[in-house]
Amino acid sequence: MFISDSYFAIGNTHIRSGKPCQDYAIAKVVPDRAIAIVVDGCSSGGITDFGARLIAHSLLCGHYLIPTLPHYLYKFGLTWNDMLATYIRATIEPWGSEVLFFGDGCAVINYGDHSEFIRINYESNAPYYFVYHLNGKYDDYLSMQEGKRITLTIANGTDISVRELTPEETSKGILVKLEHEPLSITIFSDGVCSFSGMEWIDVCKELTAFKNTSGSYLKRRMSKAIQDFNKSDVKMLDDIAGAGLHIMR
Amino acid sequence: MPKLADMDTTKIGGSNFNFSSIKIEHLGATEYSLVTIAVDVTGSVRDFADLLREMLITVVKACKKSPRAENMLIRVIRFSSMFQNGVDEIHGFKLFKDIDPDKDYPELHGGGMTPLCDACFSCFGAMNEYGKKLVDNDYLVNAIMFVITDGEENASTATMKMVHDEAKKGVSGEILESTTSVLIGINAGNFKDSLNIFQKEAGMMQYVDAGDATEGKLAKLAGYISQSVSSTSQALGTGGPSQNIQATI
Repeated sequence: MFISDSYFAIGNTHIRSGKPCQDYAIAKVVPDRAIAIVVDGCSSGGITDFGARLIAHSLLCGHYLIPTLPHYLYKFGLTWNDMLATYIRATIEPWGSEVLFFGDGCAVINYGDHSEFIRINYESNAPYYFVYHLNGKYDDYLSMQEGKRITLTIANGTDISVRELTPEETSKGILVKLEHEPLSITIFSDGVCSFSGMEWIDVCKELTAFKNTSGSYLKRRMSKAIQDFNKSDVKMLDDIAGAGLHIMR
Repeated sequence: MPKLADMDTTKIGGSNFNFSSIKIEHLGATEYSLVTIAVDVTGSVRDFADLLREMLITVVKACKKSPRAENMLIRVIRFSSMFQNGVDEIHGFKLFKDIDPDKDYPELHGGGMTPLCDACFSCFGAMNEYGKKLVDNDYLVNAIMFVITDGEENASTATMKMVHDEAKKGVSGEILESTTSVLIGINAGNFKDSLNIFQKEAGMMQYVDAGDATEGKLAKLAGYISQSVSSTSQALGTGGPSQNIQATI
């Protein structure tokens, strides 16, 4: 049996600039599988808070968004700019569990006796948006990465591996297949990397230190942790979204 | 209706007072208001015990209809020197959906003397213990309690100091976001001064005189309590108690 939950919150930068929260997260459980999705809208894009929700719900329902995207854009008066967003999708299914990244973000895989912390980071701060293949901006994306690193970091206890990714690789999606069934998977937007004075791994550890896993377990933990960070003067600069899947054993 | 196995029994500090509460794994929300109602069932309420029971049922029915009902937990106790430690728990902290007000509230037979300190200690102590447990599990919690009496303290084992110390703990120990405590006098015109003094010495927020024990007055009392509960629940997350708790009925 699975439990799922999600949470998102606006960061200080957007509060000050009067922008909405452009991160969104959602998770769903069906009889034999669970899916979690986090979408992070581009802050210099258009109405990416709406775009983020449209992308997330389409993915959750299993729609193949890309072929129908021009139709939605036309119907709702949207432009490509409103769909500029990264997304991360985590699934737990009978045949295996995996995390798929289109763009940047983090994941925490809890195996019970240890946890793995995964991060995709763009030195350019210009992550891959899946609409680049549709809006003719793919070459612009490639040139933004010139001379800059894109890295996949996997930290497991004291072991940290860092692999460099090519822009071409990232455009196909970075798939992390889990070697065995986890106790839980929690995915986060890159907002976890924006807490002033705190390392992303430490932030992830706090955000996944669940006291219990009933109902809105992720909302409780993230909300409390962010409040505690604030009391210690650790500010959340960027929007943040998290979605989690937990296996009840 | 939760089964016995769904409830925990907990001691209040080092005292002989216990309370019961629904197990945390059954609480799926992010925040809860803890509501406690303590009803005087001493000898002098015999003539209007039925009206008190009706009042209680009216409060619970009103709260069940609240849009915030799923974020409230209620405990109901009765007090008299007839009971061990002066207090008998009709039910511990439960969700409103698990209460059938027409079936779960027995006839309130009046008898014995008035252990007002015992009642207040049980209310404060249970709210603090359970509140702390919830807060330690990342829930956001505030609390409101009503102690309804027609007479003055004359039969407690708990001391005024014990009551006062528990009253202070709820907020000063940063356990609960806020605690509102109301002593209500019904048919207590002769004891107005002593109850005012009791309220201050016990560290309770206010004393309210509900007037004579008539059907109309008790119906007004029911409205006052359910409105106060609703305001308290809506204040959750604001960092302080509700500003809307009336000083009079």
